[in-house]
Amino acid sequence: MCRNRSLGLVGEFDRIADSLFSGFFPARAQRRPGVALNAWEEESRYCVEAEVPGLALEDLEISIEARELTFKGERKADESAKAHFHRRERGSGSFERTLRLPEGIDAEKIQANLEHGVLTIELPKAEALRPRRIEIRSRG
Amino acid sequence: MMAMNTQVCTVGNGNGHGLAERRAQRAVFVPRCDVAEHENEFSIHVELPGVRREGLSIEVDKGVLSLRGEVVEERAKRRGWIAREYGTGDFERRFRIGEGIDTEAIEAELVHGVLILRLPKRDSMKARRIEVREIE
Repeated sequence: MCRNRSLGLVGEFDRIADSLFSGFFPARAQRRPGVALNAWEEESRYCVEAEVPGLALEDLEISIEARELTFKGERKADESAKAHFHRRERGSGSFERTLRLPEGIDAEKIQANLEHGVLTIELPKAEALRPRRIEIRSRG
Repeated sequence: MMAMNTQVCTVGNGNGHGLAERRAQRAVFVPRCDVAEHENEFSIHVELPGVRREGLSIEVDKGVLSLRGEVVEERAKRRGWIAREYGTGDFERRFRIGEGIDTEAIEAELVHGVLILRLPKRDSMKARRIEVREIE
């Protein structure tokens, strides 16, 4: 089994990703290792989150094109030449993952935040898709 | 058993990032780490994504360094999942620290979700350059 430890990347990941996101965020075939994602739905937005400990803003790149959201990242190996590793579980290297966004996302308002090694991408729903309270007027 | 020259060893639970246990509503994970030896110190890098300084506790007692990181409540109680490829919860890991480490001088720093611990060697453990005198 090929297991790439960097950033929680799993070599066998693509297959899993496809089935998880099928119908919703179908992932394209990946050339590079992906990164594990969590996604959830709130009333007015969808959120996608990835754990990327050790990465700074400049190590990440997020782009949107034709309803596809791509994010790339790279963790440089932070090794000083003289260090001798007794244990090595973290990895380094680059990843890339592309998600197909569901309909009704307000692409202009997508936001990404990186905080304490967690990247969160907020995808606001277009107004038309949000639940709306219908006001009831009474006459009389 | 700790090898003579290994002053920093992980305790229990094997490699990082497995689910260690589930307590009440929160899962506890074993974080991934690197342990490296340098000339004058050991360093431990521990991945603690989502842990802030106030949620982190580090303790050294009887030769064991224990660390616990709690993720913010909001992340632990999320609902409405569309995809869940990794678990979210607290982190815990322990390391056995040898006599050759100056425990009083251990330093910790949290950078982008990675805890960096520096464990200075005691003088007796440091490599020493032996000077050779030349007698004319």
